[in-house]
Amino acid sequence: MLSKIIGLLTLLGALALAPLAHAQKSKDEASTLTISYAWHDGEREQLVWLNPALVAEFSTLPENESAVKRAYPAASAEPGSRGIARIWRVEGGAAERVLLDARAANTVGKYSPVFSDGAADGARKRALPGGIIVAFKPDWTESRVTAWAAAQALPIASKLEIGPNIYVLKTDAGLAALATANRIHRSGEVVSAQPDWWVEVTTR
Amino acid sequence: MHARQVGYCTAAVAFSLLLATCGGGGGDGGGGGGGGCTVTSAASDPLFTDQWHLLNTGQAGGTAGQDVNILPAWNAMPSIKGTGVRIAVVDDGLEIAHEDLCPNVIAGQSFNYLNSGTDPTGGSHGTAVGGVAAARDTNSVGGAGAAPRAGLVGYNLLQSLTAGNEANAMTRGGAAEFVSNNSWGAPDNGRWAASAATWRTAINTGLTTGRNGRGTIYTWAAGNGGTGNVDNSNYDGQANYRGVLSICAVGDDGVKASYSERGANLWVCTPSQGRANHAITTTDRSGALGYNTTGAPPNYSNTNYTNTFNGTSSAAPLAAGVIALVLEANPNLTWRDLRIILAQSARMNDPGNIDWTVNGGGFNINHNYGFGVANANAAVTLARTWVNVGAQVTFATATASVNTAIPDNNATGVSNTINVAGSGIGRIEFVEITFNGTHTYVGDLEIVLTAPSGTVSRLSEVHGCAGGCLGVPGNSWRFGSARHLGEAANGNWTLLVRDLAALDTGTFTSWQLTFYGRLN
Repeated sequence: MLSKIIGLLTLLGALALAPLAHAQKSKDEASTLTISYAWHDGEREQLVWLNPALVAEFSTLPENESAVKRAYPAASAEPGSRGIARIWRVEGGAAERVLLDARAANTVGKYSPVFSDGAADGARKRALPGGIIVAFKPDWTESRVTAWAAAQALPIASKLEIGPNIYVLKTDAGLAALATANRIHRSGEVVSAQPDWWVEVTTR
Repeated sequence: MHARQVGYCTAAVAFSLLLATCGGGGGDGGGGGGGGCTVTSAASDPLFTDQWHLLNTGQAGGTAGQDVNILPAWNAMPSIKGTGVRIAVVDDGLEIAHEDLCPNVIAGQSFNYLNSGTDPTGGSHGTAVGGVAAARDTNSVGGAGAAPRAGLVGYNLLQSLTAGNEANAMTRGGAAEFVSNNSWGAPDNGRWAASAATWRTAINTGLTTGRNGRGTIYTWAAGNGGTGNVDNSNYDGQANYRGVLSICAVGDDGVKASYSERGANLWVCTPSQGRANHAITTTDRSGALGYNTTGAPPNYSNTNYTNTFNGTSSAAPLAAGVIALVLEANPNLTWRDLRIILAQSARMNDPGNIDWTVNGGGFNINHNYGFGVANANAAVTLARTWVNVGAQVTFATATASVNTAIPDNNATGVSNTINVAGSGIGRIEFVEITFNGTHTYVGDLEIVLTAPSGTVSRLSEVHGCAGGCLGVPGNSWRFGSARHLGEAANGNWTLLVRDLAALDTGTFTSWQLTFYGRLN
């Protein structure tokens, strides 16, 4: 049941986000990604592109206990995986089905589509482990923030000590987090809202 | 001052004996160093002779003197080894019970982002980084870090790198955080990779609240994509930010490590692996974990150590260690003073390199080396008598509209000039250049800023990207330049944008400058 709800939320989130069609050229690598989503980095709108060949799994379980691997045995680990984040490559645009199957197999797991910062398959990866970061108006009291979050059914995960009123709120993983962040950002009730993105980095 | 953790130190007994011999103090990031100790000889660190980055005597064919000149600071009276200074290793982990790190680890102050505990053990990379910065000296094991009496904490951010955790890691230590080392970043593939607004806000918070209001110092690995000039440190929105020190790498011959990225944003370099097979000796995960898993030659038989660490990952914590010494010598320095001291005391390396020039502020500058190689003793000496600079002045120009197509594969390009007047900045400390435009392949672009002084900052170079270059993220990019340090802001600044390769095209829409500096 929970997996069906999550699946429905994902679908609704995807519809609400209204993906945009894009085509960019490149000399080295054909731009392969066509569906983009907007998000807000602070007050600035940014785009990410959905990669239909990748899925993200956030887990500390051993690889052989991966729900993605069970749902799609041919899945291969993708460069960029690090720590709790495992990025899997599945072929033929199977990401959506794999995500649904993985969620059904492990209802407490965190699974997300994978996005790129550009329209190319090899661009920097992002994913949505759940959670959003909300900057509330500076004059909001803590009790007002708490009440607002409760009314939204978004539990407070933590307060970031980088400003007067910046909080991490809990949401489901995946597109639901992006949809929630965008809805709140566009509501005008807050200064800004964004997903608590996982982002690909490398050691140097 | 910090409480010292010894409960998990397997070497605690031997260490205690050593302390007794020394007459007290110890690796608490707050008490060691002086106190009657005359332990500045590194003879009891068996691997120290291999640590050419600290003392380059020409080991294995290196060039004597191509190091960070740290021993004179260690051997000064009183000795300067980082006592009282806390260094945070933000990485994939830190083995806090490692025999050569634990004497310096501050109890209960590390953080594990996987379980919210205080033990971040688990990362090979971070453990090696921690050793370069602050492995314990004179304890009869391993080698030494650049600040061998500094306090160490580890945050294993890379195990769970979300935007929220990233912001938390930059500010986690609050007022207690002196130095935050970050040997990681966006993939070094030549693409323009923006930083997050939450991260920049966190850095700004650390600059104003860290180190009891004097500002946390953020050292950042410049990047390893320099081979073939694929990447440039200015394409990394973290390494090019005004609040961090972008640290490049030179080899044991003092010449740019091939992988070390160029950039107008570079501050100083420190030694790391340059020539083949002469990397950095540091701590490794204990036992069969980490980089040295078997003890087979040419690595050490003791697998708690490795001689294979390298990259700007190693250069950054070496700078962090040097900075710890400077902050011990003068704890009243603000983050801005520290930056100027590092620049002013840096040593011009590779003097035959044709990129060296002198800017209008009298600083030697080089796109490969920033202000040169960090010189610990010179920086400590300068810090002792340093008078803090005046209040920071910020001046942002209006956005200049250009709205001109950039001619494809054309050497003339598009230029535009902004006249800066009334800035109130007689000495620049950093310049941010915001380029607004579009292009289908940013690797075609050469973008050059020319100051009123004639100093040139090469912000973007023609390059390829691993897997293909993309466009301008969000049609706007913020470059950083350290190269105008000490110059005046007023006058004509010109940005030249050229597309020097065929096929892809774009538009130079507008640009804007923000200056950070002081009146005089």
